[in-house]
Amino acid sequence: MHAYANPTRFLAIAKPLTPWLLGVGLLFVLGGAFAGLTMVPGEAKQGETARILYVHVPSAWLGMGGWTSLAVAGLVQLVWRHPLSGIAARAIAVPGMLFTALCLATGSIWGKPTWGTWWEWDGRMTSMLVLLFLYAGFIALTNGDANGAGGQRQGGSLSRGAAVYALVGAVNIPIINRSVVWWNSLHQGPSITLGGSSIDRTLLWPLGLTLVGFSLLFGAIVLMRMRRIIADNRVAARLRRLADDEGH
Amino acid sequence: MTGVISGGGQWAYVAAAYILTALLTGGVLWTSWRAMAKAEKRSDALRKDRK
Amino acid sequence: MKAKHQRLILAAVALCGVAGAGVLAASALRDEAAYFRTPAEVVAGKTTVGEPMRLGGMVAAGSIKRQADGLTIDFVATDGKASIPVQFKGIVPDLFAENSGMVADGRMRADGVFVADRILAKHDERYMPPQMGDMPKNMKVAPKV
Repeated sequence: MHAYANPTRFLAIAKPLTPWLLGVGLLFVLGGAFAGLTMVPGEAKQGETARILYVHVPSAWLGMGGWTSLAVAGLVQLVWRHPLSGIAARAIAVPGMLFTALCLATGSIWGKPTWGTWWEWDGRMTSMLVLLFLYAGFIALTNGDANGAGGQRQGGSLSRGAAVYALVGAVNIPIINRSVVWWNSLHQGPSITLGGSSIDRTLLWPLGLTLVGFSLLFGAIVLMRMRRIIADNRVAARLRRLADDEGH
Repeated sequence: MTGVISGGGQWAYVAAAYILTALLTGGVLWTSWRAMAKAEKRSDALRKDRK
Repeated sequence: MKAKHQRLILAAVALCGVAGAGVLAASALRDEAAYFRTPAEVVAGKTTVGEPMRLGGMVAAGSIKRQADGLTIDFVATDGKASIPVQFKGIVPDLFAENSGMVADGRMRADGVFVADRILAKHDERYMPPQMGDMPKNMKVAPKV
């Protein structure tokens, strides 16, 4: 019963929260994109192409933040066996991969006019591509257990292998973050650090809007996908019970 | 070789990045919503069947 | 809860092990994962003449010279510690300029000139608004030092 108590309490919060995250997130993203495209000037050297920053940086943040939370969910699953942790990890994988792909794509689109190349194997780009493959591997691994002979794993939990994979993959996150500091790279160093921002204030504020907006949308996607998994689990449990009743 | 990116061509790159982001994010939002709505409808229907 | 603690300790130990392995691998890769070599590294003799390599650095102020053919340029790449003359024939990216970063693919010639067959511009982490806001978009706004 422990396994059911938690999702029920979770749904009581998640159901009303989903439309709010969606609505406010869309508002921030659209506002930030509008501001980034029309209200701020082009950058001194990069011209208009600098505006790609407002979608590239949130994608990078969510791609990396996504795996960090996926690893935390994996750890919680391994140690505390919390029933929601496996569901959360599964729900994070697709939006995490989405934003990692968007980070790579928008970066490449920025790189062509700025650097003069779509793609180079420097530390930052290579480690980000590794993150994309990690997500793909995790999705393949967890879909595998969902379609196994026993149907979905009970309650949507992760296999031990998938949880360990999530933890091991987290090693890549600090590598991505530090890649431009440890190794000389084509990608520039960090613009925003604890010490401040080397993005001028007049150009920085739309980034705040899109960062908040995309993060809220990420949350909305995760909640929707968790609700879907929980609903599927309930249907599966119900059908199992019906089948058992008929068997007797 | 001016040290500055100039000319109208740059907007094509900006547009490509924004449109790609909108399409992919919109797509994942939409499919996640649809899958959730369908699954919850099925789950609610089964619960109503229960006597 | 004994089992839970055991699992927690096991996970923590495994995590430390994996993180340690990651850091070790990263530092072992220090040279291999570098995208380019700096002029100081080249001067220190880490290269052989004629071997394909990538050189990265700042384009020294006042060093860009265009040859009569209109295609070949000469400039000096520097990292503040050492400088290497570079020759390149072709089209450079818009952002290629003096006092700005660049990365060149090519090889060292016996006379100490780096002959590049491709040049990329490197952008730094600063994002600044155009200084002269009212100037027409296509005019040069980058300050010359």
